[in-house]
Amino acid sequence: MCPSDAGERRRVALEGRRRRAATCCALLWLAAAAGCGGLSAPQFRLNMEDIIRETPDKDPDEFRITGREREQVRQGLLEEMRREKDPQKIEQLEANFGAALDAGTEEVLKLKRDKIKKLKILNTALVALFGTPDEPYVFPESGLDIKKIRLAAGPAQTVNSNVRRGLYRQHCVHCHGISGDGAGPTAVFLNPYPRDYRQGKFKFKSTEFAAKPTDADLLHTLTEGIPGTAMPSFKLLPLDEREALVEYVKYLSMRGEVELAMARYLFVDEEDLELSRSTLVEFLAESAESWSSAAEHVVRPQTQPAHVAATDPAEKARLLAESIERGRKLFAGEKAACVKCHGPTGLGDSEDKLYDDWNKDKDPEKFGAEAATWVLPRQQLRPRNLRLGIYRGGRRPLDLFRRIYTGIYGGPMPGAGPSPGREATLSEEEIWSVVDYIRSLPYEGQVAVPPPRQLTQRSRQSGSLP
Amino acid sequence: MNKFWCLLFLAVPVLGVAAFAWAPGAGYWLPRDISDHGWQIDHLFYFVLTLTGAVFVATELALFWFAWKYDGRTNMQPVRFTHGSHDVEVLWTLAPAATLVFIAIYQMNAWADVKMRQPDVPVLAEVTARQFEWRIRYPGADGRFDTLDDVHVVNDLHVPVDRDILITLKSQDVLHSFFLPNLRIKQDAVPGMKIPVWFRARDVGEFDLVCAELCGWGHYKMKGRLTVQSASAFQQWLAETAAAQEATQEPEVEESE
Repeated sequence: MCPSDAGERRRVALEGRRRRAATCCALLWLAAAAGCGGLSAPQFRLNMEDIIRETPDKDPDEFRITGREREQVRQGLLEEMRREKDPQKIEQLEANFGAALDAGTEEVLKLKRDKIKKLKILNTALVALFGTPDEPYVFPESGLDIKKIRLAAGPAQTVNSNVRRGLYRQHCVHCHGISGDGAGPTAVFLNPYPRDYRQGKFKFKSTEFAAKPTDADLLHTLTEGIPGTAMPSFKLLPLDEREALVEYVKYLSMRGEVELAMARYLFVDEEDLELSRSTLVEFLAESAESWSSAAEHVVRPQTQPAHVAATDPAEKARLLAESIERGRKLFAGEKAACVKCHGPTGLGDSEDKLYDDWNKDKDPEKFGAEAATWVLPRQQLRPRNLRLGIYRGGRRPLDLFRRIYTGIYGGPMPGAGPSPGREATLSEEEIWSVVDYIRSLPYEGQVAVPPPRQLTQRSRQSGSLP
Repeated sequence: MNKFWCLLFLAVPVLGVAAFAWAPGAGYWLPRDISDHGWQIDHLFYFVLTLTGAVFVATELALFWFAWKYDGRTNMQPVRFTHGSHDVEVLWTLAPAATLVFIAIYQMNAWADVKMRQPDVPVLAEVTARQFEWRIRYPGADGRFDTLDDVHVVNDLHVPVDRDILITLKSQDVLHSFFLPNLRIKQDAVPGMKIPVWFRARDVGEFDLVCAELCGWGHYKMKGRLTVQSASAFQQWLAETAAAQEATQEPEVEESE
């Protein structure tokens, strides 16, 4: 073989390889660019699972599109789009079922005309009232601040060095999900699960049992985090960013409540929903009112524990000891009946069949195969172990007073204070005593641990141990 | 080898040195040191940087020179193979070994200051790392931990200035790392261990407390604030925080920041 030939061939091969590498790079770059551009905007997911769980006697498929129907809808849309010859739109519709429903053709609607129509109405009404995750919108009747919501909504980005947007997707979406359903990608690993905002129920707040939390309450949770759960503190976020997130949580919660009310109206009551402004506002008004009036329902103790007012240290100690003793009796007694769940030792080990409102209807036996589709399987609720000194809703005596006075909304913890239609089970003084007792529980062991006397005596008798 | 590639090799030490010459002036350098012992850490850093920098530049220059001089296109000398040189091998084994032994001895004092010579002061605070925050506990008025008057805060570490500060570091879940860049303190928090950390801050102000161990997807969230303040301001802050924690009534004016 002639060497110049070999050299020539090598040169050509190299040239070819270089050109191919350059083409590959360019193609990869284009693919990446196209991939970014082709991502469809996220949509709020319709919450039909709550309706399914509320009506266990009905067929779940009455409230949602089944896999077969989904495929038929998709095929119908594809057929239509093929006629349109618009591949980009096909991709978008495939990725985005909410939009696909909106764009549903006549043939598709014939499949399950009634059900799909209802879902379409529900989706349209919600988009009209609240917009989409990227383009949120609120009616003035909601009382929400759209400026704050816009700061928290949309994709995470820094506009300039001072303004950050998309805060919810940066900090919260991982656990709480794009729809605020508490079913983000990390949710399944957590105990307790992240809060699902869509029922409008919040546990740790300063207001009466079923009242909404105030803005200050949500801000407190965001700032201090919830020790004992996976919710971390966001104390170092600037105040305006935290306030924007609070507003966005309210927005998601309000959207979820309206959605549930509308879904019940359409699917359970089987009423017709007229898509007019006045009808939509009617659905919105109830939730908006409950949020805007939250501050009127703040619980403020009228009294203080006696030992707080005392000035003489000896007197203070005596009153505190008395209060703790009173609290101990109440804790174990019939009237307050704390031991029923929290146990005689306060370890929270007396009741093991408790569920919160988000889990109580998730009975796998009742739902069978349906239960296998749940993103978050049923999770038990443990009564608080009061000896750890970890208080989810705040450790101030005032916080503990409110937990006992109002109970915990969404959980089995009942309130001891008065509530509509029910007398108070404990007086304020008694609640303060229970607070004092509970606060003393984590530190009870400071007095030396008593030796296991029985064992010692028995072993002495048998003489097996020195 | 092509002259272009030779010059590209030469660009590595040139640009490398240029980057290090430019960075301090442009603000991309070590954060301000406010600690008493930090100079030792910085000194060791500069020492090792100079040493490795010199070796790096020398190696890169040698690489360039060889590539330039023995270009296959212009160099018609046949290649000569050797089976190595015993003397050279002894040299390049002993020289780095001696350097490493020297560094190991040279840094002993800095290590002892940071890890062994624990100041004889009571523990100021207990810092518990967890995904993804710093839970901080002060002993309160009685000076003892695990009593009712312990003061609990989150992500907000306050310390008095010009005092020996002793902190107990714990982790609730996974490995974290307690990093105070301005104090040249970096200590892993290990689940199941109580690790003492001490330092002395010279300047008042607010500084970063960050996690320096990838601890999960929310690692970036794990940012706290270190506030160094005068002893009286610190005592006042501690007393106010303790009082707020004992609240039985909502404070008159809502907290604003």
